[in-house]
Amino acid sequence: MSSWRESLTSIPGSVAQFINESASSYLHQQPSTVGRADSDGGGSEESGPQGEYRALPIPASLVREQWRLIFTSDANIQDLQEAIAHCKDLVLLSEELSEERRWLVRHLVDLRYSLQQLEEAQEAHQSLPSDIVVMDAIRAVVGHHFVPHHPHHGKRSRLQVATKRNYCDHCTAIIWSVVQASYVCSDCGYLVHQKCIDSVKRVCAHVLVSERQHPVSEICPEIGLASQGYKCSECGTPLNLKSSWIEPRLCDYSGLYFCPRCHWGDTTFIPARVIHNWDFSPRRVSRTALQEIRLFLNKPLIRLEEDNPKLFVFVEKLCTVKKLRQNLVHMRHYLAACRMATEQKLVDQQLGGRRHLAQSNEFYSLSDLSQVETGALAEFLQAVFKAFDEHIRSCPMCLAQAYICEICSNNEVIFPFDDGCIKCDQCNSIFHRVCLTRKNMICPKCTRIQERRLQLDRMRSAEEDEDATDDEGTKAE
Amino acid sequence: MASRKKSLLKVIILGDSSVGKTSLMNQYVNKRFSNQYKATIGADFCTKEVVVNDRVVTMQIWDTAGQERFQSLGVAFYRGADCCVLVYDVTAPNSFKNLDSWRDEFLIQASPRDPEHFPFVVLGNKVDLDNRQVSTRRAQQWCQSKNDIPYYETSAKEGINVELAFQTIAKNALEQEAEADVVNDFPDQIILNSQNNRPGNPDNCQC
Repeated sequence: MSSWRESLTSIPGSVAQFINESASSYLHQQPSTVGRADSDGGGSEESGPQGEYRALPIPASLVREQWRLIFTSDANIQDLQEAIAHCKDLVLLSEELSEERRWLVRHLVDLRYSLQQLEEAQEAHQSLPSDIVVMDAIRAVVGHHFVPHHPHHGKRSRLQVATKRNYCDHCTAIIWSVVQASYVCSDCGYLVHQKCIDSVKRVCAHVLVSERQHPVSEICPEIGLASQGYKCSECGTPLNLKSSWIEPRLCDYSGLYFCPRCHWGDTTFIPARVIHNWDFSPRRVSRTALQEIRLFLNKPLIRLEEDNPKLFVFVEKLCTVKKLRQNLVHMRHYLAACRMATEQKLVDQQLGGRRHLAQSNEFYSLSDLSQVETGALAEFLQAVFKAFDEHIRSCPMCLAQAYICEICSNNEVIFPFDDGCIKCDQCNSIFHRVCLTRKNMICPKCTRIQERRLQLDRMRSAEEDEDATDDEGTKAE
Repeated sequence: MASRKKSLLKVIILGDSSVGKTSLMNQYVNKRFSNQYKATIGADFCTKEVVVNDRVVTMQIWDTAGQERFQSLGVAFYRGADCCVLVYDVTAPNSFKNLDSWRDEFLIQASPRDPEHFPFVVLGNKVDLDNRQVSTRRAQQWCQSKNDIPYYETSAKEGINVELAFQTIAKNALEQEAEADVVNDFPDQIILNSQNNRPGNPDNCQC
């Protein structure tokens, strides 16, 4: 036991700090959101300032006004409208960039969201017979937006047997969907019994993702059980090595220990291991980590070349993908300037939601990386390249903006994405690789630009001299 | 004889950013002017039918991006040009100084048959403004030093001299064309999408 504590002190300062930060973001609670379940973030995690989604406690200076601002679920439309008006006044009175204004603006969003929901509910109520209870209200708890979960709705017929059992993320028991109502978080997919909904402790993974902004970049930053106080880092259950019911389970993503209720032994690849080791082997992670990694999956956030430049030397597949993406970036310049391609929506049509692949060649999403490994990404990019290439070589406008190698001055047109061509990094001119090699890799255009600059400088100094002599002349007179 | 001549004249407008290239073209083709500045991205062209020496010809006027950051693409369309219009702003001396480099770049990229006698036309635009900085004499001197390039002072806003300038442009372009016709093997335009012209093939290199 004591040796564990000693090993803790040997952790480098920065790592320990990072761990403490990440641990606290897991543990932080949102007291006021729990307090007023009727108002919730209303999508403010996405549109609002990222990374600071935190339901702040009401500022001390506003406590006096509290009764006019905060409402419970029994508030009616009129109450809310009054509160909104009052809140708006207070926003205007508050100081710019102050805590108060921040709180008030966020609260105003919450209030308006609640009002809209209430109005929609009422409208629906009016159009329906009065004995049907409206069940679609969103319930917000610790950042989750719970909507009623109907596993048998949709296309599947009622007679078909559910292929997958659903478990409650809170109590881990099966959700018997025929007899038990359940909710699912529309942001992170957290599934929960109706009866468990008010005791949910795990902060919504979507909130964590927007706060953290990047996946954990250290490989399993473990801090040890001692510094967790032998408690589950999520629900605070005391952990014990003797009983398998409360055994500590390590999450390979966050490096924290969890109880079996919060860590179901799910396996997934770990972003940090991919970035540093190109290791896609599945590891055991906690539920919250799994939900978080899933949310990170399609976000192009990883600057792979910056984080691990040597990877491109060792992994040949990455090189191929990098080259293809570079070519697509060149092609995108043509397509963005071409009226016909814009009309056809060629870029959207080919890339869909993966526009980042042709935007620049630095950002990768986690799913991009796993597709690099399987080879699917290279295939996908090849297909896009082919479609773009077909357009550019048949479009008169794109062809008009091709390049001509000025060294050989041959009439054939060349493009930056052609194989035998090379680009001057300084002036962006394109030459045949063989031609530029013959010129000892000295770009003729850059030479001209330099000469011209010198000439202009000389002219300018000559003019100044003239002015100076003129001045002297006038003085002498 | 006339049937042998092509009836498409390709004219390229070059010059620094915001000297009024797009405005000149718009004034000539559409008789419109807007005070709002909108940078041209890449290149684009307009066509207009004109009568020169009793012949109807189509003028294809290429408007280009003056701003360096919008010149991210190539200029293969310089090839096969019949006339090049160099535009500067009479209130901006730097745009005048840069005419030299625009001319040189054009000659290198377009590589016309006879660079010395290729028809250029210089336009000093924005003469309607009060704060003139480049004198007529200075501009005329430069034009004379470059093989007597025709020089006009225009205003795209007021429509001053625009029609006259483009008439000269069309006439000179057609003359250049006629000279080329005498040689008779001048390619009409580069055939950009022909299969055997695939780029990147070093065997095609003529040097």
